[in-house]
Amino acid sequence: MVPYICWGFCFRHFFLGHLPLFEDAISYADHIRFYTDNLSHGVYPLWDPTWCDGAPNDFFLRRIGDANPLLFLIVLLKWFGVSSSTAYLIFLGVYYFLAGWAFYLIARLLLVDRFFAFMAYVLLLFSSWGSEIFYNYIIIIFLPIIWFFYFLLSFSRKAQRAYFLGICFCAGMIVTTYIPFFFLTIMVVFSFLCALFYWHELSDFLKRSLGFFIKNKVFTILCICFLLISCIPGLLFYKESKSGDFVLPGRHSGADSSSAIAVGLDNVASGDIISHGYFDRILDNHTHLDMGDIYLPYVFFLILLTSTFARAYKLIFFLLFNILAIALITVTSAAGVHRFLYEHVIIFKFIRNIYYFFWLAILPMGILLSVAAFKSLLESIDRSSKKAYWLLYIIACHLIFIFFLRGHQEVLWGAWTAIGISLLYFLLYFFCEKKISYLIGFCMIFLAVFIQSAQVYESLSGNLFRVQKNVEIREHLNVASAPLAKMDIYYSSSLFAILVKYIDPQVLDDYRGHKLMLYDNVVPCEDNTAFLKTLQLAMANNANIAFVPRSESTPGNWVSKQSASLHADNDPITSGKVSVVSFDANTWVLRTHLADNQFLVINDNYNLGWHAFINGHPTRLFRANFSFKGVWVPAGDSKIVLRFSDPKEYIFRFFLIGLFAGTFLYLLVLLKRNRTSNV
Amino acid sequence: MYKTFSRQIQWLASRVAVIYVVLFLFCITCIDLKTLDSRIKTRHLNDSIPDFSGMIHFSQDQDPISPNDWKSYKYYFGLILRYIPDDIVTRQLLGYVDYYTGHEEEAISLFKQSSMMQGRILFWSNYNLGIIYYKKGMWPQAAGYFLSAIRSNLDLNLLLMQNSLVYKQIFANHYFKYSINDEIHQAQSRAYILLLSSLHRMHQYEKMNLIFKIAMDNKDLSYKDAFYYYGGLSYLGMGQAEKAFLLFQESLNIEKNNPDVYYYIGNIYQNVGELEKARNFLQASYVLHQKNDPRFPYDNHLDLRFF
Repeated sequence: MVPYICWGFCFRHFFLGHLPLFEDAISYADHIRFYTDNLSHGVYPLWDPTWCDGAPNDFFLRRIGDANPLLFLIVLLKWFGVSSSTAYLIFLGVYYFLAGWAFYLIARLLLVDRFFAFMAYVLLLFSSWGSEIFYNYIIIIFLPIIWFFYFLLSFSRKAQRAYFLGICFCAGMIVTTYIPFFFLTIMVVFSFLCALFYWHELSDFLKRSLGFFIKNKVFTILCICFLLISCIPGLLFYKESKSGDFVLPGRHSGADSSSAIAVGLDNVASGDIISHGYFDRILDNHTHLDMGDIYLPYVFFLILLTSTFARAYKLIFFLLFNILAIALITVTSAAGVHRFLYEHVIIFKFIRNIYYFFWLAILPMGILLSVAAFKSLLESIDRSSKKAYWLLYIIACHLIFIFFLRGHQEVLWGAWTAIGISLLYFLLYFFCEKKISYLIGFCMIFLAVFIQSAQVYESLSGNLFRVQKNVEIREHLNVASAPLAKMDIYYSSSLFAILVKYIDPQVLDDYRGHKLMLYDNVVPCEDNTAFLKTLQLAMANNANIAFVPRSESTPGNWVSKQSASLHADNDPITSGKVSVVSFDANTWVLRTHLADNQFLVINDNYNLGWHAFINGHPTRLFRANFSFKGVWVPAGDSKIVLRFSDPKEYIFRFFLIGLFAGTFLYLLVLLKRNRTSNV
Repeated sequence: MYKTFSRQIQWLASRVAVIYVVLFLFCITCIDLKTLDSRIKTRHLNDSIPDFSGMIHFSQDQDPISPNDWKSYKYYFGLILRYIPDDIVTRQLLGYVDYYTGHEEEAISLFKQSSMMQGRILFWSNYNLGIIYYKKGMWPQAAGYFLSAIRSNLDLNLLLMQNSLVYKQIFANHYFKYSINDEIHQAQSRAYILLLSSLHRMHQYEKMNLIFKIAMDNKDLSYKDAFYYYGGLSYLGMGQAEKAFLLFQESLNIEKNNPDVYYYIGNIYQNVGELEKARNFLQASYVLHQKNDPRFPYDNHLDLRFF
């Protein structure tokens, strides 16, 4: 816990809200906030009315992994009166802590000794992985991945229900997101190399697993059913992505798949490791550190250097080849592997930010490798009869490192301190009793990492404060209010994207300003660019004509009233004709009081999933004015209900949340039982 | 012997050092290091592009730039030169930044390195060198560089600017609302004025007169009033007061607020004994001097430029 608290101190400006979130972390925070806000009101938001005038929300739900029971932490905190931003930051902090904990447990499984596990944990904690949580969203996928590997390793050693359920639960959490492909890739590489390096152990493991499955048939079947159910939202989303309901123009450009979430090859290269990591300045220039940059405490390099002549055992090579295999993919155009995979393996068509592999696999495995090498070094020293040579060699390594760093620019004093402490640790190891050096070793390694990292992150915060004039974290969603002229569409309904492309931004902005509009005349139209010019003219003049597609309507739906006024009623609420009874992400409830039947246009995007009801009876919902919703309302008083999707869908979603929450609780119970029985 | 050697090799092969060998082999066999290198450079450059608005404002109005902004320009241009050491346009720009950040020697060196390209004279470096030497009172050097500047091919310089990626970034800035064609011609006119002024200070009136005539023949130049004024000074220096008087009158017809023209006309009147007129002109000169019009004297504008 102490290292974690110190890590929190390094990033206090973020946690205290003095510094905002950056890049993708902002949109993820917004979507999680939107989801949890709705959930806390009992609404499962399948539609997001705030995103580009309304869009299906499944895309964002898949990104955040909606069934994740840990999201309830935010709901709970908000229930206790914590603000949305603070609740989200606490959630991030907890997530990072849990990830660090899993990493510690994995290190303990692999390296056995607590000291080395602690060392690996501290190195990961204080690497720039910590800054990533405020910069992008990979912590959301990292947590289930790292716990998955912990459960898998534990299960490989001792086939127990808790571990098997842990594996299934983590895999379930991963597949409910739309990006399980990072995990799949890591898993395939890991499995292949496992088979190569641990052939004998693997056959034992398979036999033991088979024995476990036979012994726990029902439990295994239930776990597999859980996994299969977890796959349903992802599969439904994949189907939806091919329906053309929504578009992701920036991401999809150049892609050769009909799915809207597929990524063009050039787009992938812009998200590879070369485009994001500053590996050529990993050892210096730490005063210029920016969000997303790679930083590793010097202890990492020092132990790799000093361990050069330690014995390399199988685990080290296993980790090394995992790293190399994944690195080959992450450098994209600098090696041919990624192109090959992109062309022949479908999942690679959906991976954009390929540099995440660095944070998800290369860095954690690299740290494990270095600590494993360090462990081997200490074992080599212990076994050796010529300890003096080892001592001289280690001193020489430190001197070489110092000499090397002197040639670099802007090396912070914390770095020199780290080297000093590292050398002191080795001297202690050689000249003190093992018990003493072991205990003091914890403190020294922690200090060597912490002092340097604290200075580096202080410098990072300083840089961010200089750059960031507006440091307020957004408390409200304000995407929809962004002027279209400045809106770079990332994701929207496909029809809305066409409107944005063809209609003058100012005209469309003015039109969007009116959420509800009443028309007297409804005319048919064709979906072509010529019509869009007519539509622009009608929008600009607020003409009293609404347009419905000829192919989606009948002559009975078209009305032309000669006596009607020239302009549409673009403020029917003020005129008392329409009132909004209630409104949430998936539902509109309106009351109307009309002298004559009129066509009500709701300027929220049309989608086949929307259904309309007037006075409790289903009625036809039209696609009006190219992209929006429209409905004929009879004269007199009426109650109009617009609802997105059908009850079965909501029942399934709530069931899934319940299933995950229940499984999570059961997993905790099993783990607790395991722990008790182990004690 | 063989056994010992074999044992040593076996020992080495079982050490962690092998992972470095594997890494090395991996890099040279599996990775296209050239692509890697070029992409890393591109990434560095893209991430270092500064906001050029400060530099644009400073160039036009001498609005102060924060030390951090200067630092970002210097870092960016320095980075480009690290990757493309012979980029002449970036040398000019780095020279500009160096000069205003107090590194005059480095600036002079960079301008000198970028004053010629394959035997062709480049305008901005020569112009800026002329300004630097003029400010230091080193008239012959200043005159030499201004002469080079006015002899340069402006079309070539414009082409260089238009094709330069860095200039494209500057032009793309929201605050860049200038015609580079007009700006370079205006700078060329200034180069003529400062050349004439340098020659005047060296008392080289014949050369001054020659430059005046060349300047008058060039239809693209602005500040004709200034050329008449310096033409007048050249004739005055050569002892031809009548011609000088006529040219001063021409200058006065275009620009009525230059106090120095009144002063010299007053002097001419004084020398021919028309004291009343002389007094009037000298008084007018005095009054105009009090106004401190920033446009005068003509050689008052001594700022380095990059557009």
